[in-house]
This record gives sequence, structure tokens and C-alpha cells, in this order.
Amino acid sequence: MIPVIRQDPRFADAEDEDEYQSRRSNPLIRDNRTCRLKEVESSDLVKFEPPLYIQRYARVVEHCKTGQYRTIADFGTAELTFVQYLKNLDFVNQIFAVDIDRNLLNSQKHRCRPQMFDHLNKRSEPLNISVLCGSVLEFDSRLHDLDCICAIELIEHLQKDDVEKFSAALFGRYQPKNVIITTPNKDFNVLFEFEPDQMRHWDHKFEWTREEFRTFCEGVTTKYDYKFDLFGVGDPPSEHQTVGPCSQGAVFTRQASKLGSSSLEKFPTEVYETLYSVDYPVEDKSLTPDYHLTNEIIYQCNQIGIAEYQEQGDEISVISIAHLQTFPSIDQYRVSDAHIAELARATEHLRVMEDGLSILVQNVPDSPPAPYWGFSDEENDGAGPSYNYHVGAEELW
Amino acid sequence: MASRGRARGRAGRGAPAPGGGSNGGAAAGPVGGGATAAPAPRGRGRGRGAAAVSDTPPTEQLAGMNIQAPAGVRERGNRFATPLFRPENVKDTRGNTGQKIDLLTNYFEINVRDNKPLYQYHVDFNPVVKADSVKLRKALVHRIECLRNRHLFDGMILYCPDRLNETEFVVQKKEGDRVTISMKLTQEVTTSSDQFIQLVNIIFNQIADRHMGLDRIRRDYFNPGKAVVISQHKVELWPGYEFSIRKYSHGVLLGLDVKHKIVRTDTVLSAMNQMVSSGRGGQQENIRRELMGAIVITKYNNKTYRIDDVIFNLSPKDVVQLRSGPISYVDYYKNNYNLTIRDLNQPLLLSIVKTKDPGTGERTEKQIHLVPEVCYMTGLTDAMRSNFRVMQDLAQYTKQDPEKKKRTLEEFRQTVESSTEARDLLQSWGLEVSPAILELDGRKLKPEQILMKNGQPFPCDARKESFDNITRKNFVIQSVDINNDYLIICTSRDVTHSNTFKDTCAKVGPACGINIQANGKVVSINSDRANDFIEAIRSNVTSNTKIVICLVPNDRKDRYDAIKKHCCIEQPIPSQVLVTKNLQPKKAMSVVTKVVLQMNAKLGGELWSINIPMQGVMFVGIDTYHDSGSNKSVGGFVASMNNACTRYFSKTTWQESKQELISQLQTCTREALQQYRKLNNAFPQRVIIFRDGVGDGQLLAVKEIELESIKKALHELPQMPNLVFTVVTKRIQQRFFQKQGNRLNNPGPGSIVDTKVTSDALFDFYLVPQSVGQGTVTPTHYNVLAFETNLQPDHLQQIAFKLCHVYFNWTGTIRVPAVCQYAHKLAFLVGNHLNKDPSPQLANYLYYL
Repeated sequence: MIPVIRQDPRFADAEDEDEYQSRRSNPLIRDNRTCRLKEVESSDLVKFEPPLYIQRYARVVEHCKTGQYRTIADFGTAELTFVQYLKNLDFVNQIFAVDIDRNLLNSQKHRCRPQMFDHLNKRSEPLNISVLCGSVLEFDSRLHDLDCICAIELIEHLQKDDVEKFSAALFGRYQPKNVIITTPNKDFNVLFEFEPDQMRHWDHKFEWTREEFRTFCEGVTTKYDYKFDLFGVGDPPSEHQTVGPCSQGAVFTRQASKLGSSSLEKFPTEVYETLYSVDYPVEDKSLTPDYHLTNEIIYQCNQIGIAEYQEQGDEISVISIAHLQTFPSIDQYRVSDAHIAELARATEHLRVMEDGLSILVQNVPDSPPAPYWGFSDEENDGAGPSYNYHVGAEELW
Repeated sequence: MASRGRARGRAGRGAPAPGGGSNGGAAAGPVGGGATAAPAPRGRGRGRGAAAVSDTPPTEQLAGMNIQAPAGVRERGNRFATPLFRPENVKDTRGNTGQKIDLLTNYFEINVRDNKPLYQYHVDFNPVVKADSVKLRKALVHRIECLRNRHLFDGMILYCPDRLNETEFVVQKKEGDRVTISMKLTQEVTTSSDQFIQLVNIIFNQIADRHMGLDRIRRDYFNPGKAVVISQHKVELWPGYEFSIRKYSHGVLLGLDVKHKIVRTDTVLSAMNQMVSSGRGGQQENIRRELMGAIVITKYNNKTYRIDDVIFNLSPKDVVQLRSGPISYVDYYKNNYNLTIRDLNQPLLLSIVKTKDPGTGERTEKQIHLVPEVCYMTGLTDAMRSNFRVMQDLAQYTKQDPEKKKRTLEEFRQTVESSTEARDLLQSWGLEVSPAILELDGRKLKPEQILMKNGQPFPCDARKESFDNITRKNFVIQSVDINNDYLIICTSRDVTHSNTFKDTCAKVGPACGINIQANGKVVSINSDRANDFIEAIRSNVTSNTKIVICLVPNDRKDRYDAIKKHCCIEQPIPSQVLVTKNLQPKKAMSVVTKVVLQMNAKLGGELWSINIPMQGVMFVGIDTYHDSGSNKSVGGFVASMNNACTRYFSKTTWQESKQELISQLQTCTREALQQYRKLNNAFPQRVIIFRDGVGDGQLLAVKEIELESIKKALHELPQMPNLVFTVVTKRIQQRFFQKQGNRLNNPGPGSIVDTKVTSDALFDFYLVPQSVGQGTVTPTHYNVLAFETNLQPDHLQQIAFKLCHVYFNWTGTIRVPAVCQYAHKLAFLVGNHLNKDPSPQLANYLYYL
């Protein structure tokens, strides 16, 4: 958010000072435009920290959170960057990542697959992410009536003629409950000191002033049953307040809570090609708190037992339930001692004393495999620990 | 392209120069190191104007080489190549005795369509794209339509299954600029080259990664979707595969093994809380000790870190200075990962990450602070490992019998087959995985006979894991007559235990022909401190005392170390340490039987033997031990002193850390030879050496340094003995399953495989030494580096098997020849417990058992 005075924006992607200087002083490079930024969003006058695109994503995510949207499509998803933000929202059930560039999607689609930690830290709500290839202007019934469709920095890449078709497809046919659109604010460009007619990105077909964007939004709302709220991302430096935010956006909200039933959209038409689809690991909801507590009891008893065995050689440990209740991991279940005793009794490994106050845990196998209680391939030495169960396939990380 | 960064240096291995390659030949040769040593200046200090060309010369120069030529200053080794190690004088490496058996092995044949070569291109960009912006280079090449994604490209060198018709392509960058990509054919990669094997590996890794839904952890692939949850131990087991493709004598084979990754579902914070609530005192130190060195995986970015310290005076509320300004850890996680840290008072973890700048090769250290709440523990702790219940529950899944294993292997192949994308990919490269796992012939050697007192033979039962039924009922070859000449030290609390011990000794000893009686001297001490034990030893050992027995209340390492140090160095005397919990009534008989045998062996008594129909042979075992703490490693050298393989001479050596290589082997060998002559009145006619603990990458060094120094010692003799030098490897991928009717079983002990999965470049064979009760048996690999003898390969195979029977600490066969296990045991004792050379007075005893 802090505007910082920066150097030549054309070389702002230089990785370090050396590269920056050498490129700046190289007339060859300055003339051909190999150095052009992905998209100009910082200049000698303004630089955003965190970078503007992150701020933009964060803002859209904020809207999704407020609205608790469960089904979301991201049009113009490109490298699936925004999907990385969306998938961390625990209430989202379905994400469609849509783009027209198949080659790009094919090389990036695996980015949305569950990572190791997604398996460890399972979601409470199911989530499916589907990567679809197709044009915004076509219609795919899977995306009909979603909670939200996002088109982040997409509209300015469309031909002016297509903008109208885009609105028709989005608001007229897809009819999501909400639409979030962002686009550059042309008013802000004065701070980039562009040449006449220069735009922030080579592929931009147009850039809108705040006024033009508002006109577009109003056009939408008169034609379709939506209302809109404007927002901005990337505040200008204080001495240039008049130019407005660097990026502008609008949240459209559908007014009708139910859709008319006459639309042909009811027929399933799956026009978009599914390049990748993946379900995220979900917590097993069928497991009761008692199940988890039982495992916690076994775990803790086992830990205590083994510690005692190692220190004192106790083959059987007696653990008072009152002591177990002092463990935060057990205490959190807020159950009675009697309930713990009952759960322990139902297990295979634990036994409960007759008074119901303590749990017995056995720290060694019932009978050592004869004759040297050794196991598999290793010999046993009298001085060492005696149980050699080998997990052959396990190794250090 | 050689994405696995670890360079396994094979000095002197040049790039292969396959005949088909017209351009490749000249640059090939032993230049692997040379090219890396002189990298042209890159990236940095680029002069003005020259920027456009400065990259060209080194890349041009490298292009003539192959994939392992460095594309930066990184070193890239080809770990799939097998250098030629077969002794030149050996033509046929196969044995012939034994009964033929039908085996299956965990390999699939890879069929290469028409032996079609692959094409290697050097890629240039105009305007120049920096060599280290690999991502951009890849993205641009990706846009070339006519490659149809059927290529491998590492940013510098491109491989295609077909020859390209065009070599110039124009693509558009994201920014709209046009870039011309030109390809220059540098060589044809023939299917017989090592490079080809490496490419096939890369292709299969891609398949596993992208088309089989497997996640890569280190070198192996796992399927978390099929995780087995073992909640009561807070672990999950992820099934997976380890695979590699190599060239064997049967052709290109895909070796596949089933693996399980153990993942823990508790966070570091809950592990810390666990340590606190189990309340063993000294909490901060305790936590630090338990966590240091542990590897954790973060919840938010899927990275693993090694914990180097726990910082108790920092908490997530504290502020960290980032490039963008100060921010608290809580806010940082909130902003960047949308993670809420709940416990605001937890300490932080410190991880020191060493990075190497890909451009300059500069190494930097970065300190990273982690919040325990968002880190997961990985792997098993020692505590879990020693917990029988955990191991038992895990073994249920990890130990797969041959039938189950075969099914899992076939599943792999089916998954490949059922993925259209994987099939297409293989198809485009002209590769095909054979539908069934590989069948091969093996031979089963006759079961050995165990020789007991007076050479009485008893046949081993191959179905049993051990032959204790023989040793328990029959007399050992030679008893040392301990009588009452032993000394027991124990705490006053354990006096009853000492009585149990003495009485049981007197009962079980004579039953196996060992003369030990119930009236040894017992000294009780008032504490369990190491010093008191040593003081008691010092003041009570007399010239008559044959062995010291210390009964200790638990297996604390410091006390064990102190006792062993004293008895092996200060006051050399055989010693036996025994944890009293092993003397519980239920176990006492079997434990004491074993201990009595062990004591007899330690004192030089002979327990049992096998028949080796050769005279004047000295077997040598060599192994090394690396201590994680110190920067030295220990080499153990053990040589047999008689034909029955019951007497041994031992010596240890020290070398710089992590060096498997034993540098003082010449001295060791010389001393062993002298000792042999002293005992046998003649030098040995044959020296047969088994070397354990050598990685693939060290073979050459072992051959050139160790083998040579041993040869030097042998040349000093009036007549140079025959020499056989064999490298023994226990951790291998190969598994064999024996077809018996319509069932698959583990092949019995003595099964030999010396075809198909052996290498043409080696003299090698596999031996199944043991019988296992659960799971799949692991064969041992023998790789012969020197074979200067009139023996036949068959003889060596039999010798290896025989030697697996005579390890006195286990009444059964072990996985390696006994001399190796003795050497291992010796190196371990010296490296882990003594940290100093033991007294030479003990050199002729098996005191290290």
C-alpha cells in the first residue's frame, strides 16, 4: 500500500540492481521491447506492496468470504493463480477454472491438485476443482446459476464488440447470483507517463476510465436484473488522489432469488472441455467424537506405558483416568471419568481396573516369539531393546 | 532435465558416445568434471551491448555433450549408468549347482519399438532468453505446435522421439513479442546408451507424477488418496512405489518396489504439548532434544524443513522484519496464507536453509522461523520405533507377502495402462511396458549342515527362521570353561536378578555343553551410576576373572558406553551387559541361553560351524560406521583365522567423516596375514573378502583404493594368495517370488539368481539367505570386483551362503556373510560406544558381539 518512488518501470522486473542498470543503459534493449513488463502496474511514481495483483486477489477473496459463496467460477484463469486463493476457503464446494488457452491450461492444470498438506489437513467441506477449456461467450450448463463468477482483469482483453456478448452470456445466460469484474482504471495511467494510446499490456483492447466503467455497469443493470457496487484496489499516492485507484472493480448481485424456469439453460450442455478435475480429501464425518477420543486415550496410554517400560522396565502400566483428564487433548472432550473407562473397556488393547478409576496397558507383547524373541533378520543383543519389528519400507525423510 | 539434483559423482565417467551420434562423439570423453570447472561467466557482470551474445559460447560448447553436461554450474551425474566393473578374466559369471526353481521378480520389461533412437537438439533463442530463466524457456518451447508436447526440455537441451522436419520456429511471448527458436541436432540417442535409460526414467517419472495421481516425496511416489489411517498412533501410511529403469542383461527393465510412507497427523505443537503433559521434567531441554533434527512439513506451502533449534523466547506475536516492513508472525500467516494461529504463546522453530545460487554457485544460509502449530511431524521417532504396538500395527500393512506384493505391482502397470495420457506419452516415445512381471530361473542350493561338537552334522530346516532347535539340544564345539570365574556387578536392588541369572546359567549352560556354574562372584553397588559400575569392575576383577557381567536397570547409553570403554580400553576384559528386565521369569530361560552362548563366543569358544571344503583360506569382512555426531567414521576389519570359521582377528580404523573408504587397509591386511601365519604356521592360499556398506557411487573408489591397498599387502607375501573381493549390498530393490503350484512364496534360503536382472557390466548375483515369517524376503546382492582365483563363480555363491550361517549372535542365517556382520558389529561398537580404538589385547576375541 505504501507508494514508493521507483525507477524506470520498463525494467522493473529486473531481478537485481546489476541487471536493472545494464538493461537500462543498453540502448538495444531499450529500443526493442523485450523488457516489457507482464503488465504495467507500477511506475516511477507508484509501486504497490504487496504487489497489486495480490491485493486484487485478496479483495475478491474478501468478497467471496463475505458472501460465503460455495460455487465459484474463475473466467480467464490462466495460470490458476486465483484458484490457489479460493481453494483455501473452507466453505467453497466447487471451483471452475475456465480459460480459452488449452496449451496454457494443460501446462498449469496440475497446480490445483491437492498437495500433501491437503491430505493431512483434510477439509470439513467437500471441494471439487475442475479446469475447463472454452470461450466465455459460449454456454456450459455446469456453470449455470453459480454463487459467483469472477472475471478478474479479463474484460479488457475482449474485442470491444464482444463485451456486449460477454455481458449477455454472463448476466443473461449464466445468471450467477454474483459477478465480480475487475479492470484497469485508465484515469490512473497518467502516473505511468505512457506514450499516447499506450496501454498497460500489449493485449489490452481497451482500458476504461472510472466513468466508462460505471457506464458499463449501469448498462448491465438496466438490461439484466442485477445491482452493482463499485470498489477499487491500489490507492493512488496522496498527492494524486484525483486519479482514483489503480484497478477498479464491481460486484454485481442478482436481484431475483429464483430464476425463471423457461430458459433453455436447463438442458445439460457441456460445451467446455474438462481438462482436469479433482476432488479434495474430506474429513470422514461418520467418525464420532467418541471414536477420536478412544484413539486419543489409546495413544496417550501407549505413550505413558512405553515411557515407563523404557525407564523402569514395567511390562504393565497402570494409568489413572484422573491423570488422563489433565491432558488437554483429552480434557477438550469434556466427558466423565466413567465414560473414559467405558471407551477404554471397549478397546482391544486396554483394560480397566475393577474400580473403574485406572486403565491398564500392556507394554510388551503377550508372549515373546520363541526362542529369542528376535524378529526377522536381525539378531538380538542382550543389552538392546528387544523387539525388532522392521518396517522395511519406512525411511527417514 | 536431470531433475534429480544429486550428482552421484563417478569420477572419470565421460559422456557416452553412441555410434549413431555424429556430433556427440568428439566432445564426449572424461570431461564431466572439466566442463563444470570452467564455466564461462554467466548472468552477472554482463557488459553493455554484449548481453545478447555472452550466453552463446558456453552453451554451444556444452551442446556437443549430452544431458549430464551441466546446464549451469550445477553438476549432473547419471545415476542410471553402470560402469564396467566385471573383472576382465571372468567370462561366465553363472553358477550351476542346485535345483532349478521358477521365480518371478519385481520387474517389468520395457519394450522399445524398433530400437528407434531419440533425437537430441540444442536450443537457441533469438532474442536471447537468459539461460537461467528455465521457466520462460520451457514455456516458449511449449508453444511450438509441431512438437505436440512430445518432447523433453530442460531449458537447454531438447529431446524428441522423432527427427524434426523444421528447425526454426517463431513463437509469441506473453508480452506479445516474437521469439525465434532454433534447434540444432546434436546427436541421436541410441537405445543402447546410458542417456537413453536416463530419458526413459524421466518419462516414467512424468507419468507417475502427472498421470497416476501419485505425489513425489524425495525419489519415490506415493498415493495419499489411498492412505491407511492409524488414528491410535496418530500416523497415516501412504502406499507408494519406488521405481527405476535400468539396463540389465535381459534388456531395459522397470524395477518396481512397494513402499509406504509414514506420515504423522500431529502437528509439532501437539507433539510439544504431549512432551509437556507426559511431564518428564526438564521440558525445554527435553523438547529441544526430541525435536532437533526432525523434519517437519508445513501446512501452507507443502515444504519440508529440518528443525535446527527451538526458540523459546520468541512467539507468533513477535514481529519479524520482512523486505516489505515489519509484521508479526500471526499477521504474516493471516495475510499470506489465510491461516489463523490459535496458540499465541508457542515457541518458534528455527530451520537453517542452505541455498546455492544457481547462477553464481554461491552458498548462503538463511534462517527460517516456523510456527509449530502449522507444521506437521514426519517419520517415526525412536520412541515409536521401540513401541511394539506401533510397529505391529504398521507391519500389518507394510509387510506384504509375495502374493499381495505381486498384485500391488500389477496394479501399477494397470494404472499406467488405464490412463490414456500415459499410454499416449509412452506410445509417442515408442515405449511399452510388458503386461506381466518378469519370470526367471533361479537355483536353490542344498540346505547347509550345522556342525556341532566333534563335527557332528545336523541339517538345517529351510522352513525355519533359525536353527536354534539344533544349538539348544546339542553341545557347542568348544566350551571355554567359565566355571565360577565370572563377576556380576549389579545394583543392590537387582541382587535377586543376579541370583536368577546365575541359577539359570548353571541350568542352561551345561545343556549346550558350556561349563558355567552357579557360584560366580556377585558385587552389588549402591547406585546405578556408571562410575560405580566401573569402580566395582576395577576393584573386583582378578587374574582369574574370565568375564564381567553388568546387570543394569535400563539401557541408558552413557552407562553402557562407560562400561564398554572401560572393559575394551582401560582394563581389557570381555564384558557382558544385560538389562534386568530381560530376566523376568517368562523370558529368563531363552535370554540366558542366548547370553551364555554369547559369552562363550566372546571368550573365544567355538559355538558351531559349517563345512567349507577348502584349506588355507582367510575370509575377511569389512564394514564402516558413520557417527552422526562426530566427524570421523570407523572401519571394522574382521578376518577368519581357521578353516572352520570360528576364530577371528579384528582391527578398527578411523577415517574422515562420511568416507566409506578405509584408507589403512594395507596395514590391516598385513596384520591379519601375520596373525594367520602365527596360528596356522602358513600364510593363507586364498583371501576372500566381503565388503559391506558401499554405495553405487563409491564402487570405483573402492576398486581403485581399497582393493589396491589390499593387493599391496598381499604382494608382500612370498607367494601372492588368490584374491576374491566382493561388495555386498543389503538394501536393494530386487525381490524374488517363487512359483509353487499356483501360489507364490518366498524362495527358500540358498536361492541364487544370476541371470536377467544381473548386469552385463558386472560379475554379480543375488542370494536369498534367510527364511522370513512375514512379508517378502530381501535378497542380498553380491558384486565381485576381483576374482583372481581358480575358483568358479559357483563356489563363491556357495561360500557366501555358507558364511551366512556362522554368526554366533544369531542361531540362524543372517543377511550377509558372518564376517561382514562381525565387521559391522565391531565398527558400531567402536564408533557408537567407544569412540576410540579398543585394546589390541582383545583383537583375537569376538568381544564386540
